[in-house]
Amino acid sequence: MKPQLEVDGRAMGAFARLREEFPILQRRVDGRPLVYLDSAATSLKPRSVIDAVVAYYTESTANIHRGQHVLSEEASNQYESARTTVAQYLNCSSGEICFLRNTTEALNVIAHGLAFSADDTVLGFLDSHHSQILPWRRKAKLALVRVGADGRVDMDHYAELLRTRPRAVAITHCSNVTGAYVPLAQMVSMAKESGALTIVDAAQSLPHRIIDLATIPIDFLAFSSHKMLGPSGVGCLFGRGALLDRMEPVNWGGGMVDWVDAQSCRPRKIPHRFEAGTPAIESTIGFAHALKFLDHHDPEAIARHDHLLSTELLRHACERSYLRFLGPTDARERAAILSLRVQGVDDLSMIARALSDSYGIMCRSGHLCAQPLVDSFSSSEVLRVSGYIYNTTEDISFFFRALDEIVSHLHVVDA
Amino acid sequence: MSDAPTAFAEAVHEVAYAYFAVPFFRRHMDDAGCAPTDLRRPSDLERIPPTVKAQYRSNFPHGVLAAGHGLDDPMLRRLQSSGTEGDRLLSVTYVFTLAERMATSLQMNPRYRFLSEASAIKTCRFAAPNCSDVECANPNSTMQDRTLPDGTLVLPVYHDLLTTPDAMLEQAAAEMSEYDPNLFYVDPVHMTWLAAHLARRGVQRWPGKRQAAVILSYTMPTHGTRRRIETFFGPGVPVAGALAMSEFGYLGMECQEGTLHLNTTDFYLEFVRDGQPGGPGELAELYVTTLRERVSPKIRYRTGDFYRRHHTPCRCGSAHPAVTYEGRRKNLLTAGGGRRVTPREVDDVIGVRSWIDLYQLSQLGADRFVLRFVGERSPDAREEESLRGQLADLLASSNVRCVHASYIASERGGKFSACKGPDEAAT
Repeated sequence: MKPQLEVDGRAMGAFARLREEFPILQRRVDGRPLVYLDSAATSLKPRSVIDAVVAYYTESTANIHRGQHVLSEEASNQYESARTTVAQYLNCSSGEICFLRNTTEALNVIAHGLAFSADDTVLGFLDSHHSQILPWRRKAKLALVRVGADGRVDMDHYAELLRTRPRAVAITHCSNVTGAYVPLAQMVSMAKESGALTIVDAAQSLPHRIIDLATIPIDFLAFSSHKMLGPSGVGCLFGRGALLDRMEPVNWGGGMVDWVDAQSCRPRKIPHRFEAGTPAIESTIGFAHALKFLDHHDPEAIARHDHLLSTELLRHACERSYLRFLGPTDARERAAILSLRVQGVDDLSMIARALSDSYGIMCRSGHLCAQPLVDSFSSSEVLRVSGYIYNTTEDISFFFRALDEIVSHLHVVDA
Repeated sequence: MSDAPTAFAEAVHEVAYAYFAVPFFRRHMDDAGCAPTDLRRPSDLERIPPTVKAQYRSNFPHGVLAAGHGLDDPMLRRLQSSGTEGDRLLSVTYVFTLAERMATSLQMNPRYRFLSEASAIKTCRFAAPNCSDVECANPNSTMQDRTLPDGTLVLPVYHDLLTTPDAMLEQAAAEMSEYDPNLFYVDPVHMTWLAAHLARRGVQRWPGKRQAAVILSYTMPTHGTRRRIETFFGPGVPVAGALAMSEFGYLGMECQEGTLHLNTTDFYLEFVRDGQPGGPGELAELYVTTLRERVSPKIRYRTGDFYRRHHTPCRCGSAHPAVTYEGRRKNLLTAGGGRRVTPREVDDVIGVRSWIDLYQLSQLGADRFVLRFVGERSPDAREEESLRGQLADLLASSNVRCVHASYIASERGGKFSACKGPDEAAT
């Protein structure tokens, strides 16, 4: 049986054992336990991932491919095995998985490779990360689908814009600001019916929800290792083989060509032609171990845990009159990500700093790389809390109690 | 196993040759306190510790080449075992030694004797590329690029078989037709994947006209892959499994009765179970000692392959022992209660099912198994539950999951394991 994460908020025995897998949670901040609520920025790393990265450095440091010596062979094997691990996780072919630096690079590689003209339209969404807006704005004509006050995509507007026959739709599965999940299968289906390619940013969703690429006909998917327990420095681009095969690489150089002579060259087959230069070998190997860690647990339980944290975040936020939050009020439609505005306080960086230094709580303030959305909600910035599998409902309660205390000393509202 | 007095005498002769001509064996036997003169009866061979791949690898070439032999000999053939499995090995032997071993095996099956009477054996190979990703599996390579010095045409394919694009499968099929071989030397998984592709575009049967035969090697043929390949080539083309290892060349072949026989003419064979000789019907590892190997003999070499010897002689009348191949050590599963379950036992349960082209059963934990399968259609709930129940019985586990997958990864070396034991599944 896969370990069942207890998610009813009362008995979290099995879940507490999972926390033990994360060494950094033993750390104290000026004597206080660490409460990490910034997983939408990057996740913590379990011991198995750390060990895999260390093992690369202590046992098999070498560059991959082409080497005849045993260390190179071991490193190559582990690196390429990571590709098959990712493919099996998504139920796609390993030849459709390109390792890049991060989600941002993956989206840029797609935008560049599709070679749209300035007259081609791409549909985007107001709640997307800059990485899913700016590449398209540079390479095509970007039309933004409205997002309602509740953080939901305006599906009528989406359908209306699809009738303009866009070349592609750049979907964000889960907003890094509102935490709202979009109805992905429905939106992909609508896009396919209109003849548009679908490019999905899954950086925030894939850590919590399985995406079966054999079931949902997504054309391109981008995500990052570091948001789902893996090391930083490696991101993934999934692309349907026939599409990848027609795309022009962004980067040219070593490792992506089969043959070079004085006048010409012959690029390697996909996916290798998109991986010029030495990649983040150790991070890629570590990423495979992160997926195995996630795969070792029941995906339904991980999703339920995400829902539990989301419910708790909403409940606490709704109980406080001095707070406003972005996104749906129904926890079923959102991840454990909550962006808050504190009434009467524009500079939230001071609050974020106090949460860190006085309470050991790590969260984030700013525009969250989604300035169009944040500006539509707040005159300045937002305070974001985000949880993951190692967080408990007590972490969330503690955060709100700490926030109450800080705000009560600001004398701006009655906390 | 190879217990005829003449076989034992030849084995002793081989040991003596190795002891006096090969530095590694001199040290190996001296360290064990054993000399060739100590070998008076078959059980005395057990005084020589078995040898493993790592020893031959770390002593190559200085320690494993017999005195008087050099790598520049034009009659030598270099055989490279899958380096991408992390346990690679380069072996050398004479071309004619390999030919003798092949001939011995082919003679085990009368339907293959036409090959020895043919003016030339024109071989077409379809299996995992025997090199790194960079140089091989290249969609731009030509037939000339992939024709070996002995004339064998190697068909193009990706290392990770199921990622091979349709265009490359088409290329393989076209080259197969153009080359028109009389011997297909194929990995059954690869051939099944190609046959399934061709069937999808309406080619149900190999259109070749010349007399030809198929040898299945590299990985264990399953009931499903064997049926698919037999159907594709039709009744006029014999299909038989052969046991071959890059360390030795041919070690055995299936006879016309479908029974696997091992070559005791060119090898001295032992079946070992927990360090003791294994009896008929017992799961035992094969140890191989070469006979009349002049360049680089191997003594009591642990193959990592498990077999069961048959209790009775085969109806074909062959003097070569009849065995059932059960699988490699790393592919054994551990059922509830600790019983070892072999890939052969798993395949006997899975058998031929119309909704499974290829499958892989992985052990993910002490009591956790997942069967991934690819096929043209999804099974209905009753079909899937029936199979799941049968596997649960075999594995003595209630935790068996079935997944209809669009992709199953090959091993890094390009081979495709039908079963992955707990250690392998974790990597």
